[in-house]
Amino acid sequence: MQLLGLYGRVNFILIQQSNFFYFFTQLKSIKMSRNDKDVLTDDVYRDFKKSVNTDRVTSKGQERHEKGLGLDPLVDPASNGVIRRSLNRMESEGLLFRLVMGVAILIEERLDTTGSFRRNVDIAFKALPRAYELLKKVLGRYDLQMINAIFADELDEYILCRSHAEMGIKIAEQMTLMVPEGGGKGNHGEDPQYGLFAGAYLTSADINRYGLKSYDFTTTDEPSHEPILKSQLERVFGKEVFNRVKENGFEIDPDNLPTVKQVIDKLLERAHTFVFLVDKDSEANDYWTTVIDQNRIIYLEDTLWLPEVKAAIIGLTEGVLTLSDMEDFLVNEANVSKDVARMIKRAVSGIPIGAQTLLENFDKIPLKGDLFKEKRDMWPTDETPGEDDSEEPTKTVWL
Amino acid sequence: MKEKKIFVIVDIGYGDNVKGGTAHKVGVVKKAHTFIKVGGCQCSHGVSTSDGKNNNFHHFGCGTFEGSRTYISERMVIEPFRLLIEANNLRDEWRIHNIFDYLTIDRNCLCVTPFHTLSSRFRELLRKDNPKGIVGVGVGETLRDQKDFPDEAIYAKDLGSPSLRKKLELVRERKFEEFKNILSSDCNLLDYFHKADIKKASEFIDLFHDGDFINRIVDVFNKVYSQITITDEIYFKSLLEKDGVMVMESSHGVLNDRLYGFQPHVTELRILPQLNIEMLNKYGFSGDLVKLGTTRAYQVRHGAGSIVTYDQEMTKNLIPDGNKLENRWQGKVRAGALDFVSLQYAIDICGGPEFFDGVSVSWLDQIELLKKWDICDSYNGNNDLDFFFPNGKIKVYKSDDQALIEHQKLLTMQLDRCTPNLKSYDISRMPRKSFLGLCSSVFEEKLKVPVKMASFGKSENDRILM
Repeated sequence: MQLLGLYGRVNFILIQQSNFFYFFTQLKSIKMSRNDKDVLTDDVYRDFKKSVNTDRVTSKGQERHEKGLGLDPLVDPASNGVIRRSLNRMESEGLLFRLVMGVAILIEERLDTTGSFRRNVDIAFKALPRAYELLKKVLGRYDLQMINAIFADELDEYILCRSHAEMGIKIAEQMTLMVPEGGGKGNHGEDPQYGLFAGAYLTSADINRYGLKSYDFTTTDEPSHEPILKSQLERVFGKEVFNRVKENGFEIDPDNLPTVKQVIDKLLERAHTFVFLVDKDSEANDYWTTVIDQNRIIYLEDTLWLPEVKAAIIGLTEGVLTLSDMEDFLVNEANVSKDVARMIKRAVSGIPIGAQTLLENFDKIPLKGDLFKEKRDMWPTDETPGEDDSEEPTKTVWL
Repeated sequence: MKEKKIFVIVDIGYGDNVKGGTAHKVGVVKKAHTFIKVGGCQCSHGVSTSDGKNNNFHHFGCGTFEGSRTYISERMVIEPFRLLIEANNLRDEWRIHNIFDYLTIDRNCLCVTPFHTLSSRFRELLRKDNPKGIVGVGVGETLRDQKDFPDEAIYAKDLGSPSLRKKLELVRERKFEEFKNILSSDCNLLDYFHKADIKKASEFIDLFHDGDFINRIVDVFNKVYSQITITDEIYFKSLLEKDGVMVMESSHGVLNDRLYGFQPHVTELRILPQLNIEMLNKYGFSGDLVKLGTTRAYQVRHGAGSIVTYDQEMTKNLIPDGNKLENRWQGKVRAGALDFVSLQYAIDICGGPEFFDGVSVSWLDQIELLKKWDICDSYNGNNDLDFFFPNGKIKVYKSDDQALIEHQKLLTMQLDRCTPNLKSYDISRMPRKSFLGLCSSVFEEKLKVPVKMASFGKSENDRILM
C-alpha cells in the first residue's frame, strides 16, 4: 500500500489518487455509528444539514473533484468491490441471530443532472426527510435501504456517481459527495445506461433472495445513448467490471454487450423499474417507449413531487394503497393539495398495481425481530435465543 | 454437555498457507462465537464464502461475515489507520453496519504509528539489493522500539489519552534522529537509495517534514478510540470462561518466528503457538484446545528468504497472478514442491507431532490441474551435523536468544546450499477420493499428524472435514 494513500484516504481501492489531507476531512464529516440500527430522523438530518452548504449540497464532492482527487469512494461506482449490496441486518443473540429491522428493501434512484437538471441533487437532498418518511409509510415492514445515483453524459468527467445501499443519515451524507457537472453536451441524449447496467448486473439485494423485487427509478428528459460500450463500462466501474458481473452471478460477453432494452429487461427481473420522464412531448418519449413498457414510464411536469410519486408507485405495487384511497393518503400523509394528489394519481394510474403482492413469498417474508440460526439464513428458526444446553449429538464430532 | 474449546490455527510454513479459509471453515462448522487475534495486523487472511463474499481480514477475525466477534488480544499489534480503513471497508462493501460492535481490543495491545511504518520502509529501501522482505506496515519497527524505549510505546488504551500527542512527538523525534542524514535538506538521496526508489523515499521524507502530520494522526487515533471497545484482563478472563467455541488466529507462519525462523528473513514477532497458549493459560482458560496446522499442498513464500524447493515453472502454474502480488516490500511470490523437511521442522519447533490434533491441507485442486503431486522429503547438501540429523531432518537448536539467532543465520546459509530430492506422484487418473487418501497417508507418514481438513477450492463448501 502506498503511504500517501493510506494516510490520505479511508478506502483501499482508490489510493493512487489520494491526498492525505482528504483522509482527515472525510473522517471529520463521517461519523461511524457504534450501533447503526437507526433510521433517518428529522433530528439527525437537521443536525447533519448544519454542516452542509445548502445552496450547493454537493460542494464537498465538487471540492474534492476540483482538487483533482476524483470521486469519493463512497459514490464512485468503481470502488468498494463495485457490487452494491443491500443486506438484511442481523445481530447475534445467544447462539441465534435477530433480524433487526425487517427484510432489507432496496430503492435505487437515478437522477439526470445534466443541463437544467443540475440542481436535482439539491432538490433531492432537501426533500430527503419527506421522501424517507413517505417511503417508510408504504414500506413499513421492511428495512428501507437507498442507493442514490446521478448520471451525466459520456463526454462529462463522471458518467455516473452511485452511492452504497444506505439507511439513516448516510443516505444524506453520500448525496453531498456527488459531483453533478450540469453538462450534457447537447448531443441528443445522455448516458443513464451505465447506471441501469449497475442496477441490473452490479447489485445484490437480499429482497431478491425471497423472490420479491426492489425498486428502481430513473429520472430524465432525454433519450439514452446507445450502444453500451465496453470502454465506458471499464471507465465507470473499473477494469474488473466483467469479473464483478460474473461474481454477482451473471454471464456477459464483453464483446457482445446487451442493448439498453436488454439491460432494462434484466433489471426488471430483480426490480420494479420505472422511468420518470419530465417532458412528455420530447424525443425522449419516443426513445423510452422502445426500451420499457409504456406503463412503466411516468410523465411529470417537474421533479418537485418525486417523493410523493415514488411513494404512490411503491404503495400501489406493494398493495398498501389502492387507486381509490391514494388521494386521501397523499393529502393526509404527504400534506399535498388535492390538485397535486389528483395529478399524481393520474400519473401513476397505469402502473402494474399490486405487482409485488403477486410474487411468491410476498406474505411469508421474515419480520423485524425474527430469529435465525445462521446469519445468512433466509428463514427464521423456531429456536429460542438462550444458551445452547442441548445434549452432545451422538454423531461423530469433528475435532 | 456444553463445549468450551479453542481452535488454535497454526501456519506451518512462511505464511500464505490459508489460515483465513481454514479459520473461517472452523468458525462455520463450530459456530465460533469469537475469534481471538494474535500476531501482527500485517496479516492478510483471505476468506471467500459460498455466498460470494471475498475479503482479506487484518484486524477483524475471519468469522466476521458469520457474525462471530473479534477479540484483539495483548499479543497482537494493531495499526489504527488500517483498522479504520478495514472497518469502513467491511461496512461499505460488505454492509456490516455495526462493525465496531463486533470488536473488542485489549487495552495493552501495541499500536503502530505512521512514523514506524515510514521508518520500516526507509530501512528496507536502504537495504537496496539485499532486502529483508517486509510487509511494510511497521510492526517489527514498533516491537523493537517497544523493547528499547518502553516509555514511548503507544497502546490501545493510549489512543484517546492526553499523553498521545507527547508520545507521538517523542517517536517522531527519535525517528528524525535515526534518519537525520536522509532527512536533512542537503541530503543527496542517490547516495542512499536506488534511483527507482527515490520517489518513494521523497514521499516519506515529505511526511516526516509535514508540520501538521501529528495533528492528523492524533485526530485519527482519537477517532479510532471513540469507536472501539477497550477491555481489560477481567473481560478476557470472562471471555475464556464462556461456553462455546473460539478460534485463535495468528499472523505469519512459524517458520517466520523471530527466534526459530530462518534468519534474517523473519518477523520481529514470536509466532510459536505455545506462546499464545501460555497467554490463554495465564488468563485461566480451562477448556479444550485443538491445534490445527495449515499448509498448502505445495510450498509457497511471499518475500525474501530460503525456499529450498522453489521451482519457477510451478510458480508460474500455481500462482499465475503472482506478478500482481509482487511489491517493493515483500518482493516475489515463489512456489515449489511441498517441502516436508521444512514442515517437519515447523512441527518440531511447535513441540512435535503430538502437539497437533491435525493439519489442514489447501489448494489440492491446483495440484489436480498439474496432474502430479511433487513433494520433497529430503535435501541434498545437508550433511553438517551441527544443523541436521543424520537422517536429514533439521535440528531444533536450543540456546539463549542471541546464540539462537546466530545459529539460525548459519542454518539459513546451509539451507541456501541445499537442493531438494523430489518425489512425484502421478495423480492424472486418480479420483479425488484416492488423491485425498494419498495425501492423508503421505502426511501421516512424513509428519505423524493426521489430515483433518482438505480443500479443493476457496469457499467453506470446498473444504472437506476428515
